[in-house]
Amino acid sequence: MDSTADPKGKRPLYQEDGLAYARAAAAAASATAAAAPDEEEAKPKPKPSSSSEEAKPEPEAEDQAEMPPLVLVAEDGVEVSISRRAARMSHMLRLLMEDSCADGPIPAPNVHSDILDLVVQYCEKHGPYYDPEASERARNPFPPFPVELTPTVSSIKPVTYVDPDPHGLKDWDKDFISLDNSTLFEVILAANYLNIEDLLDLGTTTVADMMRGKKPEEIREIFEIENDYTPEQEAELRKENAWAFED
Amino acid sequence: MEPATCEIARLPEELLSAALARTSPRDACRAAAVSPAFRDAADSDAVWACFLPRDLPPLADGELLHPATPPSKKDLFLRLSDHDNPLLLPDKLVSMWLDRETGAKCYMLSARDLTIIWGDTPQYWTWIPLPDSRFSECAQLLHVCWFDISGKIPCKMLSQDTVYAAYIVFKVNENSLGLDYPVQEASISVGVTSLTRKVCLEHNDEDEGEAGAVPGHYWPVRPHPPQRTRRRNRRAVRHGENVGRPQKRADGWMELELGEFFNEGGEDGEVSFSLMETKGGNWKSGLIVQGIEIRRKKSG
Repeated sequence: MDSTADPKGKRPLYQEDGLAYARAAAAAASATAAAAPDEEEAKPKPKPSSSSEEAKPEPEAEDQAEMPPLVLVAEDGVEVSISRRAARMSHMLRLLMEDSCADGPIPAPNVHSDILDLVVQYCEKHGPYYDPEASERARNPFPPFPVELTPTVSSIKPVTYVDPDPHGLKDWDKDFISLDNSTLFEVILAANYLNIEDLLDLGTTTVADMMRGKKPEEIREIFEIENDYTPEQEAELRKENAWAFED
Repeated sequence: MEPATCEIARLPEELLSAALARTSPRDACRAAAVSPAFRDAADSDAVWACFLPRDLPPLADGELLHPATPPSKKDLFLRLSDHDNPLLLPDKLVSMWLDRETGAKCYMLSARDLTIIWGDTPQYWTWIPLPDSRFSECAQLLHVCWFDISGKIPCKMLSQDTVYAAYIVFKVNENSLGLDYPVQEASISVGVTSLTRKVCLEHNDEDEGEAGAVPGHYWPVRPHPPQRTRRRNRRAVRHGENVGRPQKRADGWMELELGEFFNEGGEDGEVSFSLMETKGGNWKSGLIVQGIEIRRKKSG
């Protein structure tokens, strides 16, 4: 069975010893897998147009290809399945797979099935391009500050703009994460529980974007927070951090 | 305390901190005023450790006082980012602080750290102590024809992906001569790229005189090209639009931008700065130089 061509990039190469079993298993996989091919394949080999993450043939891919998707059980009892490749994005699921404990249903308590669906959607989208090591390298433990405007023309060193996003993931992410606050927080909590660092990054960065440059009153309004400071306490805090309140 | 009903209270403190760590020091300070729960997250070390640079240069002994209880990361950041009280590096010739908005490392190279041509010749330059400087000495210009000050700093000391500008920090006394004309040339080089612009240490605001005209008090040592006209009266010189002007600083000194550059980071190599006037051949005097400051340039 041929998968439909991946609309975003090149089709991943098939394993040399393509397994009919793997194809059949993948074909029977649940509909949560999107157009992204689940079948046996190596990760895309590095190409000039590929993302800054270096893609290497995944040694696990061959094993994964043979195996059926994982089944996660949400708090409301609904089962959500996730392909093995997408599941790699979750550190917790990766460990379970390595320890071969991922064959039965995996409970995801405190995560509602709707949220789990969203999380799985994210993983299925990003899964084909996920390289754990590159992700770690790219992840700056000290997240960068909001990027400044481009350096003025008279600066010496020219800034070369390299597009690190040939797969259009940034735009997809932007649409994906435009959620109402409540859903956003649930997604963050789920990503935290399943230890999906990239999704956690995306969620926390979105929350950060909502807070950046805002005054405390505005933050309270956005998140509907009750101000349980007394006026004296608040005045003292503003005095202590006076520099932050000068505009 | 009443139970929190807002949704964001569902996030455990470490996740709220993770979000705040992605804002900025200013935002984190403001967030502390939102609610007590926010303050716990906003003041936490998890957040401020992200604002502190990974690699601080070693400091001179005694620069950072260690009280009985070690300071929180926020206290450390606030101390390091106090521009009015920069910290000296071990050689005591360079001071550093963090840019409070971004945590970028900023430095001032004292005059002793710079290369001042003829700086060791007492008839031309002397070294004087000044109380309103962090450094023990400043350079005072007596007279010189060949005006040439330069300095450099390794790229590794600077913060990555940051636009910096370099400024010469100085004072001009009333008896100054030759600093307004001819204009000086400031340049910055990073690797093989170099950018030069015209600047003027003593920019007079009066509008008299044509832009770029030779002032009457200009007496070069060597004969100058005959097509320049001389004027009888000593007039203020008005320079063209694209000559950099000095600005007054809050600490009472003046500063003149030598130029700006983008530090991508991860490079060996240095950034060099220089300020020169060596073609006019006239005597210059009356300048006091504290050093060259390299700090993050705000965009826009």
